[in-house]
Amino acid sequence: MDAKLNQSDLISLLAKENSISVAKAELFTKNFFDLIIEGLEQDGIVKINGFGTFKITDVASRGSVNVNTGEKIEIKGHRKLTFLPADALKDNVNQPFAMFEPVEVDETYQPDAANDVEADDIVDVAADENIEPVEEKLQNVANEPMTVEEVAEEGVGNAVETVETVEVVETVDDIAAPEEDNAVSAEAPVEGTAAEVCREETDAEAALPEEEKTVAEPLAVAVQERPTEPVMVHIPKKKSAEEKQTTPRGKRKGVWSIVPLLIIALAVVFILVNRMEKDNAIVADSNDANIVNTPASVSGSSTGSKAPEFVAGTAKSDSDVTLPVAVEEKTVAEEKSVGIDNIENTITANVAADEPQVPGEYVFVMVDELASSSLKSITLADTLLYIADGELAQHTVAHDETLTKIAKQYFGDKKLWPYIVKYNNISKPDDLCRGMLISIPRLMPRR
Amino acid sequence: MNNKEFITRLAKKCNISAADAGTNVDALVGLMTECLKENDQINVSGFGILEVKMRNERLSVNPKTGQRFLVPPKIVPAFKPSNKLKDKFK
Repeated sequence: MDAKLNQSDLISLLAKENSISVAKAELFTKNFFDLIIEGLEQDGIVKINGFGTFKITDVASRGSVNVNTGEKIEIKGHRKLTFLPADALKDNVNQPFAMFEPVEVDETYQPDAANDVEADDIVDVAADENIEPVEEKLQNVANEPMTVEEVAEEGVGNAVETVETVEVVETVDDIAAPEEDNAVSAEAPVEGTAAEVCREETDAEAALPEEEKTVAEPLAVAVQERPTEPVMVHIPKKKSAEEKQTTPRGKRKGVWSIVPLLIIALAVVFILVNRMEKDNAIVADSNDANIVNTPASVSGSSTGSKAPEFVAGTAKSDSDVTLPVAVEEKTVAEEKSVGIDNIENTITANVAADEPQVPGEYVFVMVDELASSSLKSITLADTLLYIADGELAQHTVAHDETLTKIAKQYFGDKKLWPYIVKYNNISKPDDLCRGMLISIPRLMPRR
Repeated sequence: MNNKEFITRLAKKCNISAADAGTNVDALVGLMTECLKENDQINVSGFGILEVKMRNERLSVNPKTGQRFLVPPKIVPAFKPSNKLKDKFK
């Protein structure tokens, strides 16, 4: 144990070990080490089994520096005595650490780098969530003019007669209503109204691009500020299914790609409606046309001197129709934004208030509210092209059947479904029940 | 000089049989190994010092593959020749 043995200790131990006299052991031990030196002198190498090899090795000359003076010196080449222990000796000596073995270091594990990678992933995901909806919306907005044009084209195609301008003004509400109706969508307007729709669209065409811009910007802002909450989430599934059913041909690429597009379309139409309603109200009161043309969201800024409350007040006094819609819009939107997260700043709230697309339910509510007014337009359309002349057949509504399908079946034109509604006095065309017995009228051209 | 040669010459030097010389060499080597195992230092005057040294663990790299290994600590026997011997072979 950390003792220092000298040659005499070794001799006594050897004498005890081998049961030989100390003199013999001493002679032997001395001869042992002397012979090693002799052997080294003779061969330069002495090998002893189980112990090791004594060897004289050459050392090459090398340059060095005198530590004290700093001057370069050369250590000349020389020979030196080295000892290479045998494996048995090494193993015996190294027994305390015998259980260790060299281990390969895992290069891949670097704590800091691992954290960084995770953080990057999170950022990437967040970025994707940020970017995707916005791009989608932009695409949809880009597609928007197409849909509007389609509606317009349909109107042109079906338009037969020009209608008096007075009538247009009177029926603007009613025309917009069937467009809002989710069951109707683009195919709703019957010929007469289609002409009016066309006119309306052409009237509004100049204003539309601007509106689309204003729509697109708040939407983008809203989406950016709430990246984890896509707009699509708010849409009731029932509604999306219905829309999918009645979507015009060639638009069934996928529910999720269609739904936002439809929402935007509805919202744009709604803005139109709002504008036209104000038109009506103020035309009725014979007020200034300038104030009329600005939608509720823009009115504050465009009128300049007038405060938004004041405008709202005038609207209240002007018409009963405008007020509920406008008020409902703001309250619903505000409730929505406040309810979802309180953290949103006032800008977001304003955006949400100006932006009718964000709350899905809101569109839904509006549709229900205007469902009744859609009947008016149907009545109007009825007076234009066809006259119901007697009963063609009785039809029992089957599962998954809609008025448009029935109209297509009997008349060959799905756009003629309002005649069925009119003929049967169906109060809620949307709530068509399975097993309902309806009469199919025989349609005769008016002229 | 290998082991066999060493033993025969040792036997001739000590006037003993080669077998006896062999057993004695084995005994002496075993004795020294035991001493080194117990961290003893064997100081043979005129020859040198036999002792054990502790080597710390270290990282070594395989230059071919670039693999890095953690080499465990170990205890190694060491021989330090005496100055007299050093000078003799210098």
